[in-house]
Amino acid sequence: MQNEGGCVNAFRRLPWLALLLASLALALGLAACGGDDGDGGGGGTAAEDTTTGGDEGGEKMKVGLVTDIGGLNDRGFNQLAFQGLKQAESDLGVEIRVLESKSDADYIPNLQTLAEDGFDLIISVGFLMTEATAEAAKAFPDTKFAIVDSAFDPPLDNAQGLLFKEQEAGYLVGYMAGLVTETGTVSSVGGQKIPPVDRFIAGFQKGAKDANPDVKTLNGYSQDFVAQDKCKEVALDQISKGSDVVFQVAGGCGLGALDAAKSKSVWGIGVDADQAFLGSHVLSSALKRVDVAVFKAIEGAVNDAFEAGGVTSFGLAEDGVGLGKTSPDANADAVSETEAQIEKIKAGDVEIPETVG
Amino acid sequence: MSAVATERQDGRLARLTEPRSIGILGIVLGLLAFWLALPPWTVRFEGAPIAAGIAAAAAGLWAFMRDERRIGTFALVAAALGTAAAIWAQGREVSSLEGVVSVGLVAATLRYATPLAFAALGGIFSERAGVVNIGLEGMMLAGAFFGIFAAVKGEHWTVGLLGAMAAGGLLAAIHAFFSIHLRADQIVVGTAINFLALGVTGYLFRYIYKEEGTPSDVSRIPELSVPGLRDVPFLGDVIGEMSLMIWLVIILLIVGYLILFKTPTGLRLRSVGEHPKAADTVGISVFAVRYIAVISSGMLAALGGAYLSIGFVGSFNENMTVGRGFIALAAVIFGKWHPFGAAAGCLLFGFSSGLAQRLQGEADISANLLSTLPYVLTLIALVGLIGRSRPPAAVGRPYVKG
Repeated sequence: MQNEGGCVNAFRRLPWLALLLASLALALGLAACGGDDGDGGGGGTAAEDTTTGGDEGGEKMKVGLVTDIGGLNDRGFNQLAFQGLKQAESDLGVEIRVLESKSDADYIPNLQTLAEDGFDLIISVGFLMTEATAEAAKAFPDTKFAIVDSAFDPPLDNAQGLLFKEQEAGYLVGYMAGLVTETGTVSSVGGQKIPPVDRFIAGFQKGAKDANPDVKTLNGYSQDFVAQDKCKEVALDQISKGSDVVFQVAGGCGLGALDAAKSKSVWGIGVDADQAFLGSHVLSSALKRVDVAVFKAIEGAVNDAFEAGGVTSFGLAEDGVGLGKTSPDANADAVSETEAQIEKIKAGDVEIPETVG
Repeated sequence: MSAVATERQDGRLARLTEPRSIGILGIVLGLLAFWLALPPWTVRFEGAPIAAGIAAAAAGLWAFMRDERRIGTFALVAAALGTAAAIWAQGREVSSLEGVVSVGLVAATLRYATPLAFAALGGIFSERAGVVNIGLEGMMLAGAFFGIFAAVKGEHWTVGLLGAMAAGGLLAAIHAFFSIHLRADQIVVGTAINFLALGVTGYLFRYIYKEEGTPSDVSRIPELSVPGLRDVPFLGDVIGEMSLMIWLVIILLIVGYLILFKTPTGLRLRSVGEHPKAADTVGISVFAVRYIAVISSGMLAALGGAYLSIGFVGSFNENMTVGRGFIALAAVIFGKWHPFGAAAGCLLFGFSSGLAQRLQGEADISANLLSTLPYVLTLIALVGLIGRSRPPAAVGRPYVKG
C-alpha cells in the first residue's frame, strides 16, 4: 500500500511542479490582464468612454489618452494627465477616451485601438512608451501623437514631445530639504533610472547642496512605479542610514516612501501632484503639471497649432513645474528662502544638472 | 546504561564523518569565505577567504568522490562563488558594505518573510490534509483587499483582519467544496480561485475607490513596541518595534507546529493526508477534516494579504500580492511540509529580497538582474540543498468514500 502511494506520487510530482512554475510565471505576468474583468469595453482595456455635447458645430475632435502602467489612480502622474484631458473635454469640447495600460505589452495595442477608431490626437503618458508611440506614429501617419516625458529622435512629422524641466522643481524641494534637515542627510527614491526621474533627482541633489554644502544625499530606485511596498523598503533603508527628508520620485509606488517617512516621523516630499493631502509629514511636493501639458497639447491641436515634430518644454517659467503646498509644520524661514529661489531659476541664474552623477 | 550512551556517541561521531556531513561542511565553509569579507568581520586579507574557499572545495570534492554528488557539487559551487564574492567585497569600502549588511537588512528580511509565512503555514495545513492549495495567491489577494475594505468600513484594523479572514475563508470554502465534494482537479480549481480573486478585487477596487484609491487615513495594524527588547544588542532596534503581525506569525508558526505534530487533532489531519481510507476506517471524517484544514488555510493566507495592505503600506493596488502566494507554496515544499522548515524558506526569500534591494547601487550589476536574485536563490536552494521532499501521500487526490 505504502509503496503504491509513493509510486503514484513520483509520477505526479513532475507535472505538478511544472504547473506550479507555470502558474507562478502567469501570476507575475498577470499585471498584463489584471483589470480586464473589471473594465469591460471591447478590444483593449477601455476604462472611460465619455462623450460630451460640444458646441463647436460640425465634427468634434477626438482625443485619446493611453496611460502608463501606474494606472489612473496613482494619485499623481497618470491622474494628472487624465485631469488635463477632462479639462479639455469641458473647456474645448473634444471627445475623449482613456485606455489604461496594465503592462508594457499593452502600449502598442492601446495606441493602435485608438488610431483605428479614428482618434485625431493620441497622447501617451510616460517615457516608457516612447518606442511604442514612435512605432504607432509611423504606422498611422494621419493621426497626431503627443507623448509626455519624451521626445522623438529623429523627429516625426505627426508627433510632438512634451518635456518638463523636472530639475527645476527638484531643485526647489531639494533646497528646502537642505534647509530643514537635522541629520544632514536627505534622500530620494526613484522608480526607475529614466531621464524624467533622474532630472528630478539631479535637481534635488543640487538644491540640497546649494542650501547646505555639507549635506549628504542618498539615492535609490525601487524598480517599480506601482508596488508601494518596494518604495517603502527603499525609504526605510535610507531612513535607517540617517536620512530625515525623503523625496519620492516613483509615482504611485512612491506613496509607500511617504508612508515610511510618516511612520518614522521624518519629512517626506511628494512628486508630480500636490501630495500635501497625505498629512503634515509631507514637507512639500515637486509639482509637474502634466495636466497643463496635456491640455496645452490638445489646445494646440484644436486651434490648428499642433507643433508637429516639435518638442515643448515646460519649466517654472511656463508654469509647467513648481513647488507644492508646504507643510504647516515647516519652518517658515526655510519656506520663504526656498520660494526666493523661484525667481533666480526663472531668471536663469541657477545652473541645474539634468543627470544624476 | 553507559554502554548505550557511548554507542550513541559513536553513532553521532560516525555521522559527522559521513560524506554528507563533510559536504555540508563544505557548503558552510564556502558561505563563510564570503561572510569573512562582510561586516562585522570585514577581513581585508585576501588569503582568508581563499583559504576558506579551498577548504570548502576540498570538502566538496571529498564528498563528491564518495557518492554525495549533489551536496558535493553544491559545496564546490559555494566555494567558488563565496571566494569570488568575498574578493569582490574586499575591493569595496567598508562603509558601503555596512550600508548593505546592516541591522536594517534583518528588519527587511522579517518584513518580506511575514506575508509569505502566513500563506505558507496555510498551505501546510491544507496539503497535510491532502488538498493542494494553489489558490493561496488568490486568497492572499482577497485578504489584502477585503482587509482594507473592512478596516475602512469598520474604522478599525481588527475589523479589517476579520474581514480579510472572512474573505479568505470564503474563497477557501469554494475551493474546498469543488475539490472535496465535487472531486474536481485541485490544481485547476486553485488556478480558478486565483483568477476569480484577481478579477473580483480588481473590479471592486475600481468600483468602490475609483481614481482616488484607498483612503490614506485607514486604520493600520500597529507596530508593537516592547521596551525590554529595545535594549537587546544589535537586534534591539528591529525586534523592539515590529509590526504586530510579525509577532503573530511567529506565534502561529509555533502553535501550528504543536497542533500538527503534538496533538491528536494534528495526527488526524496528517492521517487524512497520508491515508484517508485508513483514517476513515477508524472513524475520522475525512471530509470534515479537509474542509476545516482548507478553510483555515485560506484564513491564514488572507492574514498574510492583510499584512501587506493594512499592515505594511496602508493601501491596496490591483494584484498587489504579485505571486507571493506561489512563493509561499515553494516555501512549503522547501520546508518539507513542516512549519519551521517553511519559515526558513520564507526567511531565505525575504533575506535575498532585502539583499537584492540593498545591493543596487553598490554592485555594478543591472538592477533588473539583481531583482531576480530572490527567485534564483530560492530555486537553487529548492533543487540543490533540500533534495527530495516527499509530499503527503494522498495530496491532490480526492477521497471517494466506500
